[in-house]
Order: sequence, then structure tokens, then C-alpha cells
Amino acid sequence: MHGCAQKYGFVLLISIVLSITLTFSSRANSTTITIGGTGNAIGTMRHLAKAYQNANPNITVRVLPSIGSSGAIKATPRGSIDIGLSARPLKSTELNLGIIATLYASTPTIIAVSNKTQVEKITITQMVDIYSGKLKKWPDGSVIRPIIRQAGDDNTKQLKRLSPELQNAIEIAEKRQGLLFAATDQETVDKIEKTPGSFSVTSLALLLSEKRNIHSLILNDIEPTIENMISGDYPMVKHFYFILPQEQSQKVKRFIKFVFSLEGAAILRAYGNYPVQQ
Amino acid sequence: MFPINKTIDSVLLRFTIIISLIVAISLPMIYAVLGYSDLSDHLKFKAKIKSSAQSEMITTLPNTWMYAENRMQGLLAREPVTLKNEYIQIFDLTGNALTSVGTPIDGISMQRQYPLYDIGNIVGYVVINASVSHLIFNTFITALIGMFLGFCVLMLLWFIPVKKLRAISNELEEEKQQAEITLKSINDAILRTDKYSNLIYLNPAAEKLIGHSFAELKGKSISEILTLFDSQTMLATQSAIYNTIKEKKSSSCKGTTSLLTDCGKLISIEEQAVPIFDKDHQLIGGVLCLSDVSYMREKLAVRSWEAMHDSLTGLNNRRSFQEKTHQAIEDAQKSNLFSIVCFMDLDRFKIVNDTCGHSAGDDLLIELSQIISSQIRSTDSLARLGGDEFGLLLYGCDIGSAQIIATNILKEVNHFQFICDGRIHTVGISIGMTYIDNNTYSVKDVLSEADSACYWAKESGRHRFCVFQDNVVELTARREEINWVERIKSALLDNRFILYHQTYKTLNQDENAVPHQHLEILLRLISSRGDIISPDQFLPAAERYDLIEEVDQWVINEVFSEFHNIQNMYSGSEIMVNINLSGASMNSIELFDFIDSKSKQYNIKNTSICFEVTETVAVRNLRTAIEFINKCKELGFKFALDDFGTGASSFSYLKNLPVDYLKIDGSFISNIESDGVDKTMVEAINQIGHLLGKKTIAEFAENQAIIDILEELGIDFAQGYGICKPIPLFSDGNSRYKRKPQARN
Repeated sequence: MHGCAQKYGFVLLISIVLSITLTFSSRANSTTITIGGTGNAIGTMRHLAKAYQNANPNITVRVLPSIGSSGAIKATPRGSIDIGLSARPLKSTELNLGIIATLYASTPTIIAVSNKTQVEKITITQMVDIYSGKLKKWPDGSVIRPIIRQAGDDNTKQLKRLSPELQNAIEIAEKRQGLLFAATDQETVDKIEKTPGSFSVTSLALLLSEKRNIHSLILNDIEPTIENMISGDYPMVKHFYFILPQEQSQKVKRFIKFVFSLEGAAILRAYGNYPVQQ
Repeated sequence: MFPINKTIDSVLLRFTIIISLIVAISLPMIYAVLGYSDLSDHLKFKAKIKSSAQSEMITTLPNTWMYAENRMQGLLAREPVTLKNEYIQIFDLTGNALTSVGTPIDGISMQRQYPLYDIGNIVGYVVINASVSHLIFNTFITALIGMFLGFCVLMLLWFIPVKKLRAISNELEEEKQQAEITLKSINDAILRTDKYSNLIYLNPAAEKLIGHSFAELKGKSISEILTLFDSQTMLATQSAIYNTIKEKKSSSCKGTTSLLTDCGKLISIEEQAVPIFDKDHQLIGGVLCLSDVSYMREKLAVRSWEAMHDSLTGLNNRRSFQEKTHQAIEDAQKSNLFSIVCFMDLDRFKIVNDTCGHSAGDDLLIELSQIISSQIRSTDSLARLGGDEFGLLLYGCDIGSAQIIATNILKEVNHFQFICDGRIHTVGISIGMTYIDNNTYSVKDVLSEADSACYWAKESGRHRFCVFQDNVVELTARREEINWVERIKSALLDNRFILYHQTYKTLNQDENAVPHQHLEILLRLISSRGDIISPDQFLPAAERYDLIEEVDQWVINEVFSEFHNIQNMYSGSEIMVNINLSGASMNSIELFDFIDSKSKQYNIKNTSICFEVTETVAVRNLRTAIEFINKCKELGFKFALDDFGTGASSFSYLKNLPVDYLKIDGSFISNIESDGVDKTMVEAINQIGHLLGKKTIAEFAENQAIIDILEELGIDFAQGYGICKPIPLFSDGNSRYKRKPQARN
């Protein structure tokens, strides 16, 4: 009896290992690179993917719609995607997942409004009032419609970190009824574009890479530029990380290499990213 | 207040408690069920909504949606509906939790899930949990409220409807008690049966009547309990309850039913049975009421006997006798059975009655009844018709046998001696008899014939019998006269006399005298059919049966009351109205006062009234006549001597008789044309009359030739068809007298 069980367990283990290997092998041997992750990086990554495909016609780089940074971190070790895009580093609990996080670019996190909204500047104090419901109209008289993100949204977290009051106000807003909600970064900017008077937080990279009909606001008189970000004057920075398996396939390595190349860096810069010098 | 029925009270209490418990329990139960169902539906709906919210992401990211934790969380937490105290998770197909929002629920919770679909394929589940602690708490609160409501319902039901029910129950109990007391108190026997006529109730009066208790009779059929007979036929009869049960309607048996008790006593009873129906109008039984009518029937029998019998003698009375006579007439017509009816009147009974007193008279009648009864057969019927009159019906008897019986009765009555106060009195009996044969139709006629025959027996000398058919002519006439009596009385009562008149013609007018229009008042009778009847038909009966005075007074009253109208009829001349007076009236001491009062009442001219009395009447009571005439003449009235020449053989009385006119009898006038003697007689009478200062009037002046002769002879006035036929005094004839009520003094 005991011997029979041992034999059965060994066969099962071998089967599992082979399955995993084959999965990775199949993915490794395929000519498609699947990239997914934070919505803030998706737009830029599509441009990089296009450039890479142009250079490597036999390779298909498929950039998935946003699954979020956490989604990328979960999907990558499972082999659902080849390259994950995260707007945050790995947590301590994620370190033993067999993945690594590699910083590849940064971009300012911006407060954005529709190009139809005649507003250029905003202050933290104003945002406090807006989120708390005290300030309801823009200077041009249009109704302010803040767009709320889910609690785990990185952009929102950065906003909250600007001041305790703002954190408080945002938390109040998250509980308020009737405010617009967006589940993804793309959905956020979609609503900023379409909703009169709306505003939310997004990234410069997204704005430029997707050529959205929105514009960023000068926060506390500091324009959200790469320069101000580098100098530290602008307070909100979003860092983009590649989430990669520890053992990467050749196609992944080659793509990563491309991103870190001069060409890749140029593309990154073109779309509001500050590339990491590799 | 009667004690409340404990069973009803207990039932009412249980009912109340049950209702209260139902209210107390049902409220929280219903709340819990509804609340649980509502929460379940809510969670299902929310799970479905959340699942739908994820569907786009799943469809667009079929391989990586499960990793988009933030996105899933955002949709779970906020879109499209926010969570409220709920814990929601998304699971993949293997049961791994992909993400969750909210705080895990401690304690008892409800979980609902909805699949996540990727174009129809289930790829996971949305599981939503919510605490049911608030539902439990609210159910507990509701239970408390329910208990309070249940208590309120208990109080309300107990004190209001139940109290009402208890009051109704008390009323019903009270009515039941009263009904039972009533049933026990009444004298009539009350039996109640089921629909098979078996006894289920008996009141004490019934127990007493039947002679058995209810316990002994319960469940038995009525036919076993009651032995009923028809008291006339003595045949057994069935109780009315059977007919009631069969026909399902009330029935009764009154008249001749008797109940035979166990001790052999026969009790006259009347039965009244009514059916009993339930609320669906189905027969469930019947009630039989027995009334002891023994006393009533005895009284009825006595009354019946008294109605048909004479209480003094015990004989049949007039009514009974008439019925038996009627039966004999019917039998004669059907089977040609000959019978004899006798009308018997005692002779000299009035003497005994007046001498010895009415009590002795009664004793005599009783004894005579027995004597007469002893002489008749068992099939004959003897009746006392009234006073000292008896009727005897000899049924199936010929005239010869009847005469023998009558003879025997005469003999026995003749031998009968009634002793009163030491004196011996004898009576006789006059018997009139007539027979009934197949030509006899009327009881009234038969009795009238027998009565007439009895009268004739009396007229013939009394204490004898007389057969109607042997003296039919005389007796018929008498019967007719008797008939006229009733008709005259009826005419007086109904005012069916009418005045006619016949005017005179003045032949020789005294130059010094004031001309008068003479007219004689004549009387007619109008029958009930409207026929005009001449006085020669009814006046003899009126005189014979003492009605003439009344008739004369009627005429006088009518003429006096209409005097002025008569005067107006002959306006322009004086009138002389002649009114006939009978001997009986003239001999009446009341007549003068009547005439005087009426003349004053109607304010007439007395000198225009002339009373006619016949020569015969005047001569018969000459002194009375002279006194009466003189008294009236003092008032101004005139007098004429009617039918002059037929009465006395000499005219000496004429010198003392203060009449004003002599009316020469028509027998002298009618043949005056051809009869020289009549002519000479008339001439002589006229001369004598004129010598005595009287005027002469000739009757029966039928034609002009006679009138011429009369005028030639010097007669003062002529009356007859040749001058004027009798005509109604007034042109409206009968109606005048029908309108006027009859004047009576």
C-alpha cells in the first residue's frame, strides 16, 4: 500500500514539472512576447513594441490592456505574460515568486483635466477642497467632477502622500456617492476626456503616449515636466519596472535590451518617460 | 345570569389563545422569512451586478483578467453599486480567491455567488457575504413586538368578541331555560321526534297524558306511543306527525280523534304537528302538540244539542225540525217517500199560564211533550216550535196513519189533567197537518200549510185535526192573506206605498159656494219588484191583521206633508182632498190626535181636507163615528159618506151623521143609462142629500152619457173613468216616496 502511494506521487510530480517546463518552453519558443501591467506604461510600451516589431518582423509583441501593477506581478511568474509592467517595486511578499523587478523609466504623475476645461493650475489646498466637496466649480464656472480610483491605485496613493489633508479629503471622496469612478488608468483618462469639468490623476507618459485630449495642471506652481521631476521640484514621480522571470527567455532578453537601447530610450523620452541609463 | 357553559368558555379561551399565539409568532416569522428572502435576493442581485461589471475585463483579458486585482477590487468596491457591510470575493474555477473587498464577516452570515462568464463560459465566481446578525436582531425585536401584539389581541378578543360571545351564549342559555320552563308549564303535550318519527323529547304534560315517562318512551316511534282512534267510527287512526314528516309541512287532526290510554281511558284530543328544518332546509324532525279537548268537545256537544233542542222539553227545536223537514222533502223527491208534517197548537194554554204562572206552564209543556212523544213512532220527530206550538214530522207516513196518530194525541191530551194549586186544568190541542210528496219543494211552504191547517182546526172548533189539502181553498186564501201581511209590513218599512188620485168633475156649481177642485187620494203598493198593486189586493189583509190603522196614518201623514205641493198643482183654485178612513182607524182613540198634530205640523188648511168613511163603517159604530166626525169638523175638516146606498135600509141616521158629502155607490151609477130604477134611486138620494144640506157625488161615472144624466139629475160632482182615471198624485211617481223616510208617530 505505502509503496503504491509513493509511486503514484512521483509520477504526479514528474507530470507537473514536465507541464510547467513545456509551458515555458512553448512560450519560450513562441515568437510572441506578451506584455501586460500598469496602464500608465501601456501606451509607451505599445510604441516600443511597434518599433521593435518593425526591427524584428518575426516577433510579435502583444501589449495587453491594463491589468495593473499587481496583476503583472501575479501574471508574470505564472507565465501568463512574458513581461510585466509595474509602477511599483516588488513587495517583500512578492520576492519569492521567482520574478525580478527592473526599473526602466520614470514619469511625472500629473493632475489632468480635459482640454476643454479652462484650467491650468491647481494647488494641493484646492484639491483638498475639491475632494472634500467644498470646492465645486472651476474658475470658469464649470462643475468640478473628480474621478475616483480604486483604493489600491498607485496614482491615488501618490496623491494622498502629498499631504495628510489631501489624503483625508480623498478618503472622504472615496466614500462619497455620485462621484465618477475609473477602474483602470485608460478608463480614467477616457473619462477625463469625455466628462466636462472632470479631473483625475494620471501620468505624463500615458498622456503623451496615447495622445490624449487632456492636459496636465501645474501643481502648486510647479509644472509637471521631466526636468522638474529630475530636480525633485515636482513632487509626484511614477517609476516603471519590468517584472521579469528570473530565468528569462531570449526573446524577452532581446526586447529588454531594445528598451534599454538608445532607440528605446529615445522612444521613452518622446513619450514623457525618463529612461534609466542601463 | 345563568352560569356560563364551561365547555363553551373553555373553547373560547383556547380559541383566543390560539389567535394570540398566531399573531405573536407569525409576525417575527413572516419578518424573518421576508427579511431573509430580501437579503438573499439583494446579495444575489449584487453578486450578479458585480459579475456583470467584471465581464468586459474578463472578455478583453481572457488569460490575464484574474491578475488585474486592483481593477477587480475597484469594480467590486464601487461599481456599479457600492458595498454595504458586505464581503465580496472573486474566485477562479479552482476555488482560489483572486481578490476580495470588504471585511470578512464574523458570525452568522449569508453567502450568495454568481458566476463570472467569458462569453457563456464560467471562469470564476463572485461570492458575496453579508452578516445576518442585523436580520436576527430585527427578528428578535419583531418577535417582541409580536408578543406585545399577541397580548393585545388576547386582551381584545377576550374582552370584546369573546365577551360578546359569552353574552350571546348566556342569552341562548337563558332562552333555552325559558323554553324548557315554558314547555314544562304548558298544559298541552309536546312531543318532538326525529325525521323517522321516533321520540326524542317529551314534556311533563305529555308524560302525564300518555302515562309514561320520557325515559320509558325515548326512541320509540309515535305509533307505538300513541293509540289513536276516531271517536265516531272507533277505527284506529294515524298521528298527524306522520303526515307532517312525509309531506314536510304542518298538519293537524281536529275533530274526532281520541287517545286511548293504557288504563283504557279515551281522551278527546286535537293534534297539531309541524316539521323542523335545519339551516339548509333539510327535515330533521317534527313537533307534535296534543291538546286535551275533552271538556271542549263535551261543551261543544252540549252546545250542539242545545242548538238543535228545546232546553225546556228536550224536544227538537224549530231549527232542527226545519232541517228534518227539509230532509224529508229531499227524500220525497228522491225516493217518493210520503211524510206528514203537523203543526200543533195547544188550546187554553194561556189560561193555565196566566192562572198558575209561567213555571207551571213550563211543567205543563214538559208533561204534554212526554204525552205526545209517547204517541209517536221512533222514526218521527217531535219539536217544540215555540211557546205552546209543536211540530211533528211523521216520516214515511201516509195520511191515514197520520190521522190515527193525531187522533191518539188528541185523546191523550184530552185525558191529561194538570193540577196546579189544587185545581185541575185541562188543555186541548189543535193539529194542522199537510203531507210531503215529490211535488213538495219548500220547508217554508210546508210549515205554512200545516200552520194554516192548524188555524183552520182552531177556527173549526179547536181540539181537532185538520188536513190542509182538504181545505185548500180557504187555507190558500188565508195563506195569501198572511203573505200580504208581510208585504204590507215590508212596504211600510221600505216606504213602498204611493199616492194616486182621481179628480171629480163639478156638475152643478152652487153660485154662492167657492169653486173647489175635488180629488180623492187613492193608495197603491209597489211590490219589491216594482209592480203597482191595487188596494183591493192588500187592504183586506191590512184590515184583517190590524195593519189598516198604520196604513191610514201613513196616507194622512203623506197627504198633509204634501198638501202645499198639491195646492200648487192646482194653483188658481181651492182644493178639496178626499182621504179614505177605515173603520178600525176611526174607532181608534189615537186617530183624532194624530190628525190634529199632523195638521199643525204641516200647517195645512183643514177645510180643504175631506175624510171619507164608508156607510157600513159609520153605521156599525154610529156613536163613535158621530163623535169623531164632530171633533174633526170642529177643526175644519170635511167628511164624506162613501158607498152610500148599500148599507142601512133606512136613511134616518143621515140626519144625525154630520157628513158634508154623500158619495152615491157606483152600483147605482154604472147602469144608470139603461136602468130606470137606478136612475130613480140616484135622483132620490140626491134630493134627500140636498134636503139634508149635503152635496152629492156620483162614483163610476164611466162615460159622458152617464155624466150627462148625472148632471141632469142635479148631482153635484161626478167621479169616474169618464172624467179622470186614477193617476199618481205627483209626476215623479215612485221616486218621491223612495226618497222620503217613512213618518212614524
